[in-house]
Amino acid sequence: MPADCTVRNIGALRDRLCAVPDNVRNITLDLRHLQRFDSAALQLISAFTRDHSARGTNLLTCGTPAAWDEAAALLGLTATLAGNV
Amino acid sequence: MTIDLTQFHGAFFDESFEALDLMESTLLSLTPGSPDAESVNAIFRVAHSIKGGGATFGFGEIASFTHSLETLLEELRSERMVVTQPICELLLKSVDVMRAMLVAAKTKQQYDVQGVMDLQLDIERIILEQKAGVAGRASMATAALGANGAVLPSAEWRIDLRPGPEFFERGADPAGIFRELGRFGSLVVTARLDALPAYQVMDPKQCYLSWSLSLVSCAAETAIREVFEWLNADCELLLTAGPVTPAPASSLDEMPAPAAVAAVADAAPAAGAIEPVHFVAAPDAGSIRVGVEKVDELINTVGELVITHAMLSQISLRVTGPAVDGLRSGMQQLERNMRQLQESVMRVRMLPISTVFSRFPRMVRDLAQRLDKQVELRITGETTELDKTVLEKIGDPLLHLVRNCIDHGIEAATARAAAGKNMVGTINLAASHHGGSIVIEVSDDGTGLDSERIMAKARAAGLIGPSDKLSEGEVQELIFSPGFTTAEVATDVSGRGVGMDVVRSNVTELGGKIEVHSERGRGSRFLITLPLTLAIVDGLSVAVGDQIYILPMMSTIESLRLTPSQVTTIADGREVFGFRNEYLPIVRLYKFFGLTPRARVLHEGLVVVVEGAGRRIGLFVDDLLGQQQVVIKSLETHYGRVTGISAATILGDGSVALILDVADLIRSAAHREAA
Repeated sequence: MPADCTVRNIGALRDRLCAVPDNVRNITLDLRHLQRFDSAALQLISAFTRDHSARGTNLLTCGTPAAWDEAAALLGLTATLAGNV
Repeated sequence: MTIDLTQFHGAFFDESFEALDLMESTLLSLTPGSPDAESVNAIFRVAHSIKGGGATFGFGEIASFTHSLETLLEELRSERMVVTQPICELLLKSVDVMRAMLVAAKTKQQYDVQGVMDLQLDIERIILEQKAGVAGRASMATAALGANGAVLPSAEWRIDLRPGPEFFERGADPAGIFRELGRFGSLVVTARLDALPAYQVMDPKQCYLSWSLSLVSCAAETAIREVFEWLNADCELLLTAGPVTPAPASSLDEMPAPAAVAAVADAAPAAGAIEPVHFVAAPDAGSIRVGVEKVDELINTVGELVITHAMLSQISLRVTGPAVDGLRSGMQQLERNMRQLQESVMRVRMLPISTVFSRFPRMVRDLAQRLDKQVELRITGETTELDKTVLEKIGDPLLHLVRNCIDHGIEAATARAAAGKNMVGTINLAASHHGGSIVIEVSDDGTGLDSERIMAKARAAGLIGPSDKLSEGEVQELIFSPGFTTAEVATDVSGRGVGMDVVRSNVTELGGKIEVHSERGRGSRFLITLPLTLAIVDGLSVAVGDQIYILPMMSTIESLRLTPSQVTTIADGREVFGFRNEYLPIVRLYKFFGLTPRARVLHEGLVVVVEGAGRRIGLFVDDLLGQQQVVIKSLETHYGRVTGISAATILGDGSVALILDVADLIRSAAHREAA
């Protein structure tokens, strides 16, 4: 994921996610470069993980910043982001 | 200026492998439920260091995996999570995965990406599941305290928040709101995603999420409403208060006091003190890393020096004149210094046998689990030092022996109990010095060798004749015969028939020997005797014609002069003699090597009883010259393989003597006779 994932350029992130084939078996979300994000990004990634988990895709996150985990927990999205739909 | 970090890769790999060994042994000593805090810290430090090194040296996948592992370990060391058996298993698997990733990075090979991803996923899931569990307990604990009439909350607030579609675009921060609410008491947040469309069709700027919140707090309604004060008119907010729901009585005991903190507090990032990463230019003050080839060069030079000294000593014996006393005294001093130097240099190549033993606790544990047996491994003498080359080559034979102990030796717990034994079987792995040798013992208190079964199998395999009668020791020796196995079914553990003969041959190649002692129902004991080093050998010099041969002392049992009455010539012309209740064949060394001897009649020369390849023979030689340490010089490197010869050495007078390979000699002699 890019460094800036906020509502201003969230469209670009959505386009990148849409480029991921539907039938892929494993997806790794690389958050190592993520510097800025907001609730819109968490919402989009939640939709992405929910939809792919429902298809049986293995989802993995790497380089998750502590702030991302904290925000996910605050918004009640931890389980969704972990693919537990 | 840029620094070429690849020059540090070797150090990174070496230290990472060592650190993983430490992590594995520490993990095996962890007690689930009540782990030693320092052990958990030590494991954390390993993951942290490898992560740091991986990131520094451009091994992103290693850094990523160890980051997840480090997160789990941080939860464990801060006691937010409990060390359970499944977590120990997960951590041990992580050690395997990290090793594989490091090997792949070092050898520039591919690793099992899917396996790594699966394990990383498991690690992250276990953390999230644990966090979800803690949050749930926190809420219940707060409620229970209120129900007991203690200090706390007076109401459970149900808050329903449905933001408008432009919620995010206006810069609203629901996470900030919920964080603020969490300060009032225990907050549980449930996100509703029912209105969230598929990600491909959604407008990512629009807010589709809504939330149901449960806040147990004694805060006033106005204070809670103030948090939402700035929300726009398009947001729906519903706030209702009710009595605190009592927690089930049965769960009260399960609620630890620290869990009464706000659930959101659990999400705060941990701030643990972390030790700095040391991979580069940070050698231990007490040691340095030196390439083995440099040490070998040093040993070789010292070997040459020993030979030169021996030559000078011989010359000094022939010197006469006024300075001779001073010369001889100086030569004696030089000899003392030489011996000290030689021993010191040899010690550089010595490593503790713990480097080999350390792999067994994990192997025993995993194999015992797989075979559903209870096994305790006891290790002693792990600080005993052995030459690096010997150590590298003894690992596999030991592995085979220990595996056999678990698979064939130790019985199932029920069978042990029925036999009146402790249900937990014991395997002993011990090393100790005995004179100039190392003795490694692998023993178990299992079922022991079944002589009748061994005999039956040996007869079926044609290893012995149908009417052959063997002593108990000879029967037990049969297990070292090529292709011998008593296993009914070949498993991936053992029983493929490639086993004890390979173990013996590996040990013999190292100049050592292996013996077995077993008692039915009581267990088996394997004793491996090895030379301390492969660079020098204690030898017995023997003369045959004008040649001198060196017999390794480890293979030599006794020398004797035979009288004609002691020798029997059997039908095919072979000569045998009685020695300690058995008949041994005589091998005339001059015949074997095609030499002209000084002694052809047996009582004019000497017979040296030697042992190798599980058999004993009498070697007929002209004379014994003495016992001495000789420096081993490879013959194969400069010349080629010679039957019955393992290496060469240079004697004090500068002449070359060949060192006999007793096992090979016995095998070849038997082969020639049979032919």
